[in-house]
Amino acid sequence: MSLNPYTQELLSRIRQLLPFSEDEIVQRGITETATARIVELRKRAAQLSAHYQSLEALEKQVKTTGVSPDDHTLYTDLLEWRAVRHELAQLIGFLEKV
Amino acid sequence: MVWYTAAIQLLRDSGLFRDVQIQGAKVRAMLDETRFLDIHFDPTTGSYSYALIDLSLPYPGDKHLFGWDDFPHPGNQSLHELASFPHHFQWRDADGNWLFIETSFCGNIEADIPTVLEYLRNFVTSDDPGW
Repeated sequence: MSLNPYTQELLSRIRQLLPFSEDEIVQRGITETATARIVELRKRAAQLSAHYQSLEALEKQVKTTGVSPDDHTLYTDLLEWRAVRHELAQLIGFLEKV
Repeated sequence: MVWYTAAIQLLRDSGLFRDVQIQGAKVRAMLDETRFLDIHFDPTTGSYSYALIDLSLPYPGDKHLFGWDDFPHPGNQSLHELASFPHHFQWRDADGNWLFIETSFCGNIEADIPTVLEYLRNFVTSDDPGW
């Protein structure tokens, strides 16, 4: 991967100010980007949990009551929660390897 | 690659939206102040909901103007008779009643989004959406 000239210049300047290599700076950026996304996903999971208690409870509610064509919220929240859980697992797995 | 990367790129490249964002784990693409396209997708099962929401609609509920999803809404006989069931497209007729028609969608988001965008472009540029 090649960096654009502006990013390359930033890297050069920050290396004059901090005792880190370019690799360390880039790796820290990768880790912090993943961590920020994990925080965002956990925040959304907490909102859903406050509303439905658990993903399993929401799945049960969708199965029991169904979802009206007038209001898909139960279903879209279910899809989103599963997507949150899946992405969180991938990111956490990634960070564990890093 | 995470599922929404390609979806966001397709939505942005369409030029239809004033803003496209990831909110939590859904994608929201703003058409204007009151109308937006919400993309929900479960990458573990391929289940989906792509919906145009219009907050100015007079109906109760989620302000769904039209959309595609794969939920088998119980009690809707016309939906259950579709060859594509549970996959369907739904929109409201002039009286506000839901109508269901078949869709070719089956949870392949990268293949589905271009069709969603084609529909939406037709909708925003014409009084007659053409369905």
